[in-house]
Amino acid sequence: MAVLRFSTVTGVLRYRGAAGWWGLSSIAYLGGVAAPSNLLSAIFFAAMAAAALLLIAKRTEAARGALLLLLTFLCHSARFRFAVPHLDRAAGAPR
Amino acid sequence: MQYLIWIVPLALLADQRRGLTYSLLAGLMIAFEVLARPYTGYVGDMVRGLPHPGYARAYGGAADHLYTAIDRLVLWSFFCWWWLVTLISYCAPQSLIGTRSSRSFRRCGSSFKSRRTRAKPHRRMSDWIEFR
Repeated sequence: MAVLRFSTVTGVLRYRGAAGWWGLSSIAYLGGVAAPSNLLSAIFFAAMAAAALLLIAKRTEAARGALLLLLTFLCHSARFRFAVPHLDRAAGAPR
Repeated sequence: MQYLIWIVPLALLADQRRGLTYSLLAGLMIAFEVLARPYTGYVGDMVRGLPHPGYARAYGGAADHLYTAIDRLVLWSFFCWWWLVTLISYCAPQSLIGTRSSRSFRRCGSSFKSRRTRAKPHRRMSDWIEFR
């Protein structure tokens, strides 16, 4: 039986992917600006909440609603899991 | 990569035309990254059995980061445009339904419905059972 270490669980929960490789955070990287992580998170959560409220208010069909949520996620996510193995390991991410 | 795939089935259901454009763009981006990343000057480093020694040094380095961020921004820009068009179609009042973008979205969005469903929207399940 496999032994599940606590650090493995916390590593998975902490892991969000590398910032600076996608979307708003990559624009900040290209501009040489250090975008505050809290600001990017606030933008992401605000956009997702607004999209969810819009869907509830408009009572739209499931496929179109899910598409809008996914598009909101892809547009406003600052961290995005693309394989950057040595960066992932440095950040304590699971392999 | 899985983040790019999740949207494909929903896009094919709800917005087929833009979904196909997205598939084309994402496929080109992935092909470009597989062939050229991490931009060591040796095309195909990622797919051959024994990569060039510069591969490990360049992977995740400054040049890799720069070019990868630029090529992914192309796809991200498409996402932003798609998101805006979708959002406008949700928020536009009924009086603007006849505009070009709304018509286009409705045409794309309803493409998954069959012709029979569109022609007779009031058919009930009991009618359908009798019909069979």
